[in-house]
Amino acid sequence: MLRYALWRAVAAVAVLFGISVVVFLLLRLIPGDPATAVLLTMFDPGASSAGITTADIEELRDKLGLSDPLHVQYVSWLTEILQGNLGTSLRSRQPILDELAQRIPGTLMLAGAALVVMFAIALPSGIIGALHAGRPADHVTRILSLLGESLPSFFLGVLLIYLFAIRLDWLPAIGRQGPESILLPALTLGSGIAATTSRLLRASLLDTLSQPYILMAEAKGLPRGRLLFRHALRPAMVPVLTSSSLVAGGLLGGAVVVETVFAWPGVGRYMIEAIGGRDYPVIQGFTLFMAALFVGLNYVVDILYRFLDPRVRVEDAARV
Amino acid sequence: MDKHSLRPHTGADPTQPEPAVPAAAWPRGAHENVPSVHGTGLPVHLMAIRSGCLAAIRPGGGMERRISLRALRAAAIAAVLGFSGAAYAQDDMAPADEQVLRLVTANMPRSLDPTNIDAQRLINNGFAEPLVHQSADGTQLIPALATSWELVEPTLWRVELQPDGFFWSGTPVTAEAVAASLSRHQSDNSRATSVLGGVSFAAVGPTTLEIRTPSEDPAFLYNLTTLPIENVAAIETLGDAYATTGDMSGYFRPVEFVSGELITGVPFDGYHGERPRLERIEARFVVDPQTRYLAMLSGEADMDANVQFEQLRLYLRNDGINIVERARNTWNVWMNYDHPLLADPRMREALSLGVDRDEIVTSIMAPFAVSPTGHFPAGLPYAIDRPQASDASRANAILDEMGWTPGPDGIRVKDGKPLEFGLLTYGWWNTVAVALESQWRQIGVRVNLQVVEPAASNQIMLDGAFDIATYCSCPTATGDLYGTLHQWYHTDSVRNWQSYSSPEVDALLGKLRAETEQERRFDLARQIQDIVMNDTALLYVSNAAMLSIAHAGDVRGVDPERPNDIVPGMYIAAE
Repeated sequence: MLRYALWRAVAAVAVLFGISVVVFLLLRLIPGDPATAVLLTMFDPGASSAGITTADIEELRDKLGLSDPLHVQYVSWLTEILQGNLGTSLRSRQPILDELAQRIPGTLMLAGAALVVMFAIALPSGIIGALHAGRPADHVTRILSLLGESLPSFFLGVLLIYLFAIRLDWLPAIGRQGPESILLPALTLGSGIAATTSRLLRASLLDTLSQPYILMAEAKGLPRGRLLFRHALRPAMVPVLTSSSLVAGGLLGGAVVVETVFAWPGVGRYMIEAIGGRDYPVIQGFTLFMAALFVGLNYVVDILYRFLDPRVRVEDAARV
Repeated sequence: MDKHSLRPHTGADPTQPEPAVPAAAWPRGAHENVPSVHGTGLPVHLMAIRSGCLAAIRPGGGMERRISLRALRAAAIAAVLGFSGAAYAQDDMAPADEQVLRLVTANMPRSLDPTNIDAQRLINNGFAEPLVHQSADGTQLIPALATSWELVEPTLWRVELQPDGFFWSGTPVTAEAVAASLSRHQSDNSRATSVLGGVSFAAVGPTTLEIRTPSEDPAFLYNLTTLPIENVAAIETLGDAYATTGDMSGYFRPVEFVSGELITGVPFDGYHGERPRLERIEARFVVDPQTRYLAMLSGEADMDANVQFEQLRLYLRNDGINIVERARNTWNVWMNYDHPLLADPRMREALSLGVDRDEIVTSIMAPFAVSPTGHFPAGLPYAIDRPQASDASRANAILDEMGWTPGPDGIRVKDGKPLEFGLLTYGWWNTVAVALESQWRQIGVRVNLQVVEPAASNQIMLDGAFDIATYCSCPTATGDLYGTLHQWYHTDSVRNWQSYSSPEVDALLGKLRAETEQERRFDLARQIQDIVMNDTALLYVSNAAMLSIAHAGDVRGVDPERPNDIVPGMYIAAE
């Protein structure tokens, strides 16, 4: 077990190292650099670029350490990372860790609320779809799922703002100004993912309901509710839970758009700003931070699998 | 007049009733280029006369304050209105607890350290003060921390400061503190190092500052309009907290600050000038223009500081929202002279003639644009009033003369090669770029659109890796004519993306830099614009109000001379 844990830890570190190299190099391959973005901005009203020369740009590049050879820049960055320092934002001159710490709670809160929304929509609609397969109720849930999946979140978000914030004046349109302000962003983010989950649950439940043990239980007169919730739903949820890692990725990806539409202060918007301004340390630091989070979670799940499922232990023992 | 007795220009006076003048209809005529206020009662020509004493370059020599014509008109109006306005204001203003202005903006400061790159936004929101502000048309300086200024020698400015200015910490704003602040901008502010290069600052009295420039620069003070003055001594005291607390001298002081997200402020009691009528401002970062619009409609915001075209059309349908149109910009297209075909002035002229500006102005950019008349938008005293011609038949004739003959698909060919260019573009230029593609195809020129994001466009332009580009470093009103024209047209300028070079223009720019007399400066600027227009150095597409500002109907006291800013005179009117 220890040997396996160590082997997985080494693999996780190697993955992180690979990600750090790829992110570092990709950033430098795309056009635009921080010094140019800082000095020759076109979007800051009042920011004058009068008298800026190529020498000024080069001087700023030197100051930011961008003139050093790539390997020197990489090693310097990695050394800081290994000391737990994600660096300093080129645009705000603030520690990136502090800026992330300010925004991560907002994104986690949004993702958590969206998960609740997702299950609140996906569970009933998936169950109804499976229990009434091929009948009007199933068609309705499928059409709704299709709508949820195909409606872009930026469009749905605007529709919800228009309805609930402007027409009905029930909920705030922007920002994080109270508990109620999370409802619309969470609904927007959660409903798109709910559609996929609902369809997955419907298919899985249909499959489970056709299993011999369920047919046997039904033939013996087990109450329908007990049959469904006690014996069918639990095994049918396995693929849904397995897909939750994909859902987490979808939540974080979708959060970028939803945070923008609802002016929700989170890391997604922060990253968009950083990319636009070519704030290398922020982009690198954030990407590595998120990668470490995912790799770490996967590592924990891998280890937990071995505790929970003996078949995994046997298969891994054969492989290692 | 005792210059110390003069109060800084603080915008419209809410003690006066709003004049019931109907809003101007879009689009305004080409003769107007100062901001206007659409909606209830803030027409620019009347708002402008509310301005206090302004400063201008005095013909014949030094630059010092004078009572402007506007100020005289303001005095006349004030005399007519008398004191009745004060009583009106009592009725007009909402109670103190409703004096909260909620601003949604795409431009939020990321730090309260004013040497940070986006610190000029602190000036817009009233947290920081520069030495001087610039009037909307760029022709005049407006006092801020400085009460007066004088060019005592060709390279020496003497600036008198407010005698009773304080930083938020209670530290007096002295000449020594201002000198230290400007010196820090010089060394630490990436966007200020070039304009402050070689400049020295010295306190010669408690509130008297001397600024020595390395060469004659009569427009130097305009460079200071975006530099907030700070208490440098507080940096040591506050340590790392300085970036999130700062110590400046604006009429608001921050009570909550989240970098790049939110800044909340209340009136600063130690401010030397008029106390703000607003009891609180909340500026929130909302990057999406549609969300800002929806926030205004839902009543969650009172001011949208970055209204774009699409939203402007929507705003104008709402009676309850007032629009302040900023000074227009000239939208232009750059042609890279390093491309052998574009180095030929005839090819540039043909491309320019092939642009149907009327079509762009009256359809795509309608109703917010007018035909361009040169580098600066028409109506400014230093602008020329000569359109760049649009004439497809002449364009065809020039290309025929150059030996480019139409091929079977309509695209011209010479020596077996088609006449085609890449057209670099991004975001908000897309629709215009598509129109250009279509219009040039009609004269037999193919352009291949290369759509990138703005930061990439910046770099590609700098690297010179483009043929033709729609890049909006769009000229607008400016006080620094030399700096502006130098950027675009001087042979050695880094922002002269297209590598335009004219010894005559370079020489005129040299003269413009040293010229102190305003009319002669304007004349030199017009001469330069004439030459670059004749050379088709750039292709001017339109004069458009790229961004505007929207205020909820109950927001009053907007200052048209500082349309981007929250000024002390602003307040929330009662329902």
